[in-house]
Amino acid sequence: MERDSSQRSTTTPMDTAAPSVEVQPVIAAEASAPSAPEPEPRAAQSTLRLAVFEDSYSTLRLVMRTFKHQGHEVDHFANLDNASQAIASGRYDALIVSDTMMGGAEACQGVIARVRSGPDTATAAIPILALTLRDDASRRRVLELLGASATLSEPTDARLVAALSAAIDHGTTAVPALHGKPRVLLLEDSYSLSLLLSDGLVRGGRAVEHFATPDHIIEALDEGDYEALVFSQNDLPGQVSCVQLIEHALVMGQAGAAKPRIFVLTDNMAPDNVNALLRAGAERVLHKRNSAQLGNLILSLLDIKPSTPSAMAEIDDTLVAPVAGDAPPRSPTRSSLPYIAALAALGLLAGGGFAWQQYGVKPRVNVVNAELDTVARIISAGGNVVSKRQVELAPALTGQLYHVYANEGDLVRKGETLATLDNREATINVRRAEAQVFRYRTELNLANKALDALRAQAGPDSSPQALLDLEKDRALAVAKLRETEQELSAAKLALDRLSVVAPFAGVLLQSFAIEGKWVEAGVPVFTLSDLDAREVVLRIDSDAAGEIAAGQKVQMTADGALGEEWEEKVLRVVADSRGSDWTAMGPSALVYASLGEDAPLLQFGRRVNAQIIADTVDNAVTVPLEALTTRDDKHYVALVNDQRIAFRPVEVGLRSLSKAEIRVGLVPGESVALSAAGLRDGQRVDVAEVD
Amino acid sequence: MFNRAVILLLAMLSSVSTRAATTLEVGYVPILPMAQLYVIEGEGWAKAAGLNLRKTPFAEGPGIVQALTAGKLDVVYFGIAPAMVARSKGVDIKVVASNIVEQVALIARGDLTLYMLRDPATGLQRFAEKKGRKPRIASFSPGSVPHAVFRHWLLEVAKLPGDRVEIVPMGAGEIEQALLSGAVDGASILEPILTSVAAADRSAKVVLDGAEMMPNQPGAILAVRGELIRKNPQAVRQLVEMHNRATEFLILYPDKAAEFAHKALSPDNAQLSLESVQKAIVSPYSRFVADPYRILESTQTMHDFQLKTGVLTKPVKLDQLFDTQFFAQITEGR
Repeated sequence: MERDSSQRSTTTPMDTAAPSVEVQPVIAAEASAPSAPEPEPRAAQSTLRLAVFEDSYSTLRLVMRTFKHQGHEVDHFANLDNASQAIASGRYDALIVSDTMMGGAEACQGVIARVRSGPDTATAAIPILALTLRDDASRRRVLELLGASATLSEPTDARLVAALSAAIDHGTTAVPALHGKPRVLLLEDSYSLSLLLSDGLVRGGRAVEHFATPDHIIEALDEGDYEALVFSQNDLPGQVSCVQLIEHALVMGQAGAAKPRIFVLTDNMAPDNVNALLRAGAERVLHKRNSAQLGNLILSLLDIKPSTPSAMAEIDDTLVAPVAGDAPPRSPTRSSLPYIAALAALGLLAGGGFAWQQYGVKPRVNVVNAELDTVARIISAGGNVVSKRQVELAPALTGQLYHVYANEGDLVRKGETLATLDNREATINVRRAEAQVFRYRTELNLANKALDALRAQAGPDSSPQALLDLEKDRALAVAKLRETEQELSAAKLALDRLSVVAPFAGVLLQSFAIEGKWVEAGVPVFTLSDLDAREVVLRIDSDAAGEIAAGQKVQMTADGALGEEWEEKVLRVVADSRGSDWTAMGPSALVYASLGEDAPLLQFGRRVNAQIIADTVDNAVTVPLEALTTRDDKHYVALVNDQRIAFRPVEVGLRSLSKAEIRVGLVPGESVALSAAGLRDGQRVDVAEVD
Repeated sequence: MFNRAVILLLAMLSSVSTRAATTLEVGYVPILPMAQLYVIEGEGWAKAAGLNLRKTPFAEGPGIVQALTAGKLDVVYFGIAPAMVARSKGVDIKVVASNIVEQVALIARGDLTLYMLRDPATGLQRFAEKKGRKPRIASFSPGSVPHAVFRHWLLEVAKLPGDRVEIVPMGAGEIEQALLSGAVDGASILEPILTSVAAADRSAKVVLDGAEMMPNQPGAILAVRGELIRKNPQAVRQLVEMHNRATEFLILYPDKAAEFAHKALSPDNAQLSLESVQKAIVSPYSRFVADPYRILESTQTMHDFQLKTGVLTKPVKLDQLFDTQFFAQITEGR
């Protein structure tokens, strides 16, 4: 099946360092002394396809000869467009560029910048060895900053091989490194979260294939085997849902291949949603909130051996313990049908089922201990950065707009000129007045110096006339200076009245300014929003509004603010004046939260995710939310004692996003099954402790 | 009326034809801040005044200093920094006019823009704290005006330690590439790079203008050999008068001036587009000012700073570097 390669990004342990401008491999390449016996460089170990962008005969000959002698395939490009297209094709393992080519340093840098800023992550991460004639640190630093994986001056055969090895060690293509590494398929449409996850997984030795849409995931599943699937739940109308995707993944797994382990990331930790995902076949459902730790968390889960098939993906509705009976029955899938048939057969064997349960294969159960912890009642909400202060800016005079310097959406500084009427004559007048002021200021300085010198030398025989002349000059300069300063003030005022200036730093929310447009005095042409008066407005269900009050803590994250989490406070809660007509989600309320010094610098309109901490209980007995199950509106946990399951009713208090407070029914240290799905009272199990 | 114009024209032609043209060897660095030279040439004022300007472009200031030392040039359009160097080497030159002031600005891009927009000094520090690394600021090599102006702001205005940022020296083309590729967080640089980068990258923004970094900072200047002043002061006066007229022309007729500059800087239309030159000329960061008085104090400030930071190895007597008499004469009573 054909797939658009631009949709796919593949990451391996090596490429995390490759495209970054933080890489500092230059010294490694430069320091590689060819004379000393060294381990064979990587560049010499396997056949590589190298693209060389160079047109200087001597350098090209050396590069071609050296690497062909090493057994590599070397293609030569002398044209920037051809080289860029060839790299974009993904056929090459490394690129060698040189600033000895026609166009010199700029052409060399141009190709590096173009490759590094290419749309495809894999090809943009290609290792680049930059050859430079100039052996100076700043030149190498420039190449490095632009994205060279390694640099080399004064190339020789041996130094070239060593430098290419260094380049590949610091930045390599994905393809060769993919082989033999466990593959993880990642569905995540947030760029920042996908970067964090990929980074964490890659550091753990996984090759990560990342897609942003379920359709691409389905195509990828058709083609390859994966150790694990990490799906970010973002069920959008018209798209395959996460539950459907899990079912598809389990049905479509390659014949004979092990079933992939499935982890779901979600913002919706409501028990109904979590149970649905677990029943579909997810091994764990994780909250997206701790985005910075998610990669490591998934890695640690991958390191835990998965439960036996009977306890995992093959769990069927017919085996679900009654305590989990509140979940809606799931429609049979291709994977579940054989098990339904098998169970039907089992059911025919009266008494055999009891014997199988007591003495047959015991399911393996992940167990956690109830522990004392703080539980916080958290209300999740999304919102946007808004401004408390907005002003409309208008010209002071009527006229035609001559220059417009700022556009809608632009950030502007305090005092910045946004637009001017025709100010050419006024500018000339200011320049002329300034020239006179500077001239007389200089003359006054000279007069003062001369006067001081004369006074210092003055003796009894000094001529009083000389002193008088100098004082007269000085007085004249003072008078001229005052006069010209007044003229300058008037000229500046006239010039200022022709300009529209930002009174404070902010963002231009609206602009009606077009060069040549006739504008009236006092009629606004810009709307400016204050950058210092930002706050966040969050929209919540009106039912939850009663739980929220000014002063409560709010944990915030923002899309694109890589893993950054900061704390704010609720400022006020108001009813949403747009009411239920505005949204199909029903009545809502608006929560205004602060945006203080700890916040990243977010522009207006930026999407923010908030967790409002509505209530907290310290030293509560807690279990993970997944450990709770309900029947007849009562909560239970599956207690694990002596490798036997015993369902126990509990009274649940506050719930956080991941934990529940158990007010009655459990004491710290007691073990409960992490998931009660498929378990029965009295059932014998194998226990796997989970940290 | 028509007869009077014809008579005047004939008189002018007669005056030019009977007077032998004075040839002046002009060295210049072909960059936008030398725009007055392109206007004088484009408008044909020099020829009309009986001056034959024989222009030689130099890649950078030090080449002009060498040519001056060798006695090859009469008139030079170059930077105030190499002018100081030339004077310190004993070359008898006088700065007779300024071309531009406050031409260097700090443009930030990416996250650094937001950090520096409100308060540049604390913004730099907060960027380093939040990002865990120093901001990377590109500029020309140490000794250049853009480098000196940024260091002056950092050390003398913001009062920050010099190691608070990483200053990466580059050429002009490299700086533009580095900004657009995100390899650096900002640059202390001049037009037309400020305009072209801001047009290509919406996160790019001038966060410190020239006046904030060093008020009245000197940049490109017009200087003449002392010998020319002594032998042909009338030619120097004419030159300064044309230079001043060209400065006002740049403000009054920026589009026409841009055509002249574009023709001079990008004759084959490959290096710069006409539109980018037009935008750069009317940019708020292109302050064309001919007044040499205006840069007297700021040149002293820059001189003292360069001396203090070791870029200048010995002091230059600046009162011998300037000759303001010609500008005073032509602007008397205006």
